[in-house]
Amino acid sequence: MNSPRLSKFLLKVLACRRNRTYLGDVEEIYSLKAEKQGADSACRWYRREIIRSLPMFILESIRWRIIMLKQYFKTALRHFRRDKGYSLLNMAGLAIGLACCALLTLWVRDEVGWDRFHENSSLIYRLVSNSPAQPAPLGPHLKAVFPEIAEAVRFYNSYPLSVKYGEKTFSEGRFVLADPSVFDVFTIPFIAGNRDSALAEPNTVVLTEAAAAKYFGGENPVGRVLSVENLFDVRVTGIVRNPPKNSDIQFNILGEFRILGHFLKDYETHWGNHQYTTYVRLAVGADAASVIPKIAHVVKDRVPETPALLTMKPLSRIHLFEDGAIKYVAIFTLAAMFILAIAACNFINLTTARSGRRAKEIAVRKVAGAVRPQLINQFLSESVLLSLGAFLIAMTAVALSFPAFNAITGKSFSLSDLLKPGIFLFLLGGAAAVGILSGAYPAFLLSSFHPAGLLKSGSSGTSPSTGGAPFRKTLVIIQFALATVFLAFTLLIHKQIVFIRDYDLGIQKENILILQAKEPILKSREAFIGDLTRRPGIVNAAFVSSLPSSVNNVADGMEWEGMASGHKPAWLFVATDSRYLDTLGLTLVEGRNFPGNMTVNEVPYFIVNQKAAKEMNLEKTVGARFSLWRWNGTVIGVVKDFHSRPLRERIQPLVMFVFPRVYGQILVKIHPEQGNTPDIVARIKDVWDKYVPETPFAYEFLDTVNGRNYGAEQKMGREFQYFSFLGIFISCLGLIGLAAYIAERKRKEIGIRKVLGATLSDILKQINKEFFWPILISNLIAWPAAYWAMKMWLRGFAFHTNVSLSIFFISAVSALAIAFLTVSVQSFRAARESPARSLKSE
Amino acid sequence: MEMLSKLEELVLISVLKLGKDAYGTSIYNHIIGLTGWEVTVSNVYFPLERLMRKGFLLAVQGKPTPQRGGMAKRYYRITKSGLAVLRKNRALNLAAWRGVAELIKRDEV
Repeated sequence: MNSPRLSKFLLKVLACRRNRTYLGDVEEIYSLKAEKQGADSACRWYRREIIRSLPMFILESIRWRIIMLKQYFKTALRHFRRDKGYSLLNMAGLAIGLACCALLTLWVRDEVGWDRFHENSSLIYRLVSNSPAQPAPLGPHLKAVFPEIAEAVRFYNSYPLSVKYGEKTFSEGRFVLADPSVFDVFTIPFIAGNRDSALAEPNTVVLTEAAAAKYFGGENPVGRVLSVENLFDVRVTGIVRNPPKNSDIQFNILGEFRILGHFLKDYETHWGNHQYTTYVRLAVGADAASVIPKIAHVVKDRVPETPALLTMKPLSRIHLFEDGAIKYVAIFTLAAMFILAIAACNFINLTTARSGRRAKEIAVRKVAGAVRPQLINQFLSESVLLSLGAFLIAMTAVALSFPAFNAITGKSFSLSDLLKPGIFLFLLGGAAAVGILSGAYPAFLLSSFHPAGLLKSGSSGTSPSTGGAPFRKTLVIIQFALATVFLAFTLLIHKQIVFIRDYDLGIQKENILILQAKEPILKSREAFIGDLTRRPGIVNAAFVSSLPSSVNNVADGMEWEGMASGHKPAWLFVATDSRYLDTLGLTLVEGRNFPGNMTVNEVPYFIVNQKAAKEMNLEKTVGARFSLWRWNGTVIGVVKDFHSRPLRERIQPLVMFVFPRVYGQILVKIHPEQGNTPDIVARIKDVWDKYVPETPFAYEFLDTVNGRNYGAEQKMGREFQYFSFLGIFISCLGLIGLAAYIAERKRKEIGIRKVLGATLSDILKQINKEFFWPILISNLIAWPAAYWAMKMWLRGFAFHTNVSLSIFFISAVSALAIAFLTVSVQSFRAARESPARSLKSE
Repeated sequence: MEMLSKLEELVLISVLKLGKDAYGTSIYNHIIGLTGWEVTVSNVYFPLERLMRKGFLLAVQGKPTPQRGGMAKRYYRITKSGLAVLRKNRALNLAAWRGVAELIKRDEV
């Protein structure tokens, strides 16, 4: 007669098989009862026995687990203490890896979360035609006509304005104008003032906390009045939090949109002037895909020459996909995974290498009655303990490195970002996984060997120390393949940055100062330029509507004689004067410059670039009748193509003409060889103060401004270099450990070789040989992978450098060199030891 | 001095009384017959383990029988210190109960 199967099984699990006596007793009583009272009653008794014993057994098993765990940890700690150097090396490698991974994860999360913190983020779209700049009437029109569009907000980024409060005057670079609906579209928390009425009245502004502190110090700014350009006053109606750094909506002063009326007339009805970044918030439930076709023709219907149809791009995708951050997000994500993989390989490798030495210990444990699960648990708890130690070190390191990391990346991370459950648990999980993985290999392999073999030889034929060698070599190969890809990418990114920095834009961008073209200067242009150029060190100066290499004004509606019908050109334009070509060192391919007389306001002459000339497709471009807006004139020159937009983009057609009403800046070419730069800048300030005494003198260099176009990329390139350095460093830590291990294992062999007459270099060769092939193979694996990845990555740039052989060559040679240096330090020490000592030791 | 719980005391006494026949099932049946309590086998098993750890009992492995699902019996023997602790417990119990019989005969509190 058998007792109920399920209950029996349950009881076995409960009693952990340890308590066989107990099981036997229960069985015996059961069969007695079954005989006397029948099977049913016996079964009931059996079940009751289980249920009532349950709590006791659970408590008992927990007690045992704790006792065992204590024991495992005690043994683990003893091993750490015995091999302090190795344990620290191993932990340091993993800690650095985890710390890098944490920082990279934070960085990637921050980039991916760009502008996603707005409550309505998924409903916000940016209007885009061929550029984000839209005509002013578009936003209000869309909101009025389409019920799907709940709100629209226009932004106008003014050029730096001088803003005055009391005695304090600042040149305010981030003076942004926006519709009051800005607070309904974006999430901008108020500290003081009322959100609903903040920008409701004309000439009102809200300040960020930082700006409020700058202008008012401790005073309460709400209700106070600032004077702008000495032209008009604005009243402060609120204080808002500083915009987060991972947002495109950046400002110090946010002004009511109609302030624009002080600078520009009729903007509200002018559909042809594309200047205002416009965002819409869709109504809940509206489908963007169905809205886009409806709005596509809105601008084109009014201004038929508009080249591109209107569309919208979701806010959450703009930074990543429109601005190209995804390139770096992808590469940084990969970097995070690579570094973690390198660190994990390293950790596993060192752990397994070391555990091979413990064959005898395991054998003795087995002889003394340890069963396999206990040995497995022992190894697992040791490696998990190590990896958790590494995790703690890593978290501390990350927290300490935040100031430096923020300085490099321009972000603002704090401890609270690190402690967010997502990231924290991810890293903790990663550390634990590495610990378990690295413990698992020796745990399962070593515990399976027969103690007799292990004891006899210490490392018998199939023993762990040689049996694990192919496994460890594979890990070294993987590790170094990843490190080589890192090296190659670092070189490539550096090459790309240098390529872009040194790329010939077609203009001489050095030694050019930018001044703002203020009203008083515009009124006396000829006199101002004359005054400037009379002073030593100042070569030339020109008025421009936008800076070279970031021209963002697009004109449409130009016509020329012989233009193909149906051709609707939309070209970049620069309004400037006759000194432009000389100031920037541009060369005319054909024709002549604008006439030198600066007093005229408009001349019916146009100069186009080669790209535009090609689009015009005339036999003779110079002399062609050309009309734009209300001017009917002639093309008088063709200028050699230059990069009028950031290098991410290709050269576009461009037209230049004289039109002082839209001048925004003055480019001043200085000659630093005629006196040092500060002196020359002081001379320029003299002239400035003469014409615009009420506005503080402010200037920038053109290269600095241009550099900002590529600044983000340079920064990311630099960050990548740091991380790749750390990745390679971790790989080296692994090599040091492995080399030390090999040298130690071969201590006696080396001693015997020396007795038999081997020289130092023979022995160095012997040890280095163990690493030569793995590293060579890892290079062969890394090359095609790196080549493919580089090609993919470079595809994101319009102008890019090439993947050259030298990149592979340099990275291969440096990987080998680094590896051999690391290994040789260890093997040198082993090889120098006197054989008398090494052979004597046991 | 080592204090025994009531169950431990009962188990130890049972082992003493059962002599050579003291093993799990017999102890369990003995305690149920003595007290009429609904004890579980584990209620007997854990005190046995504890008493062994404390050195009051010794275990001797017996033969497996088919009724036991092929698992061996484990016979228990009381040790010298086990006898000593029983003596002390008995003395304590007697001392504690002295005169109580008179007191609990009365009905009023």
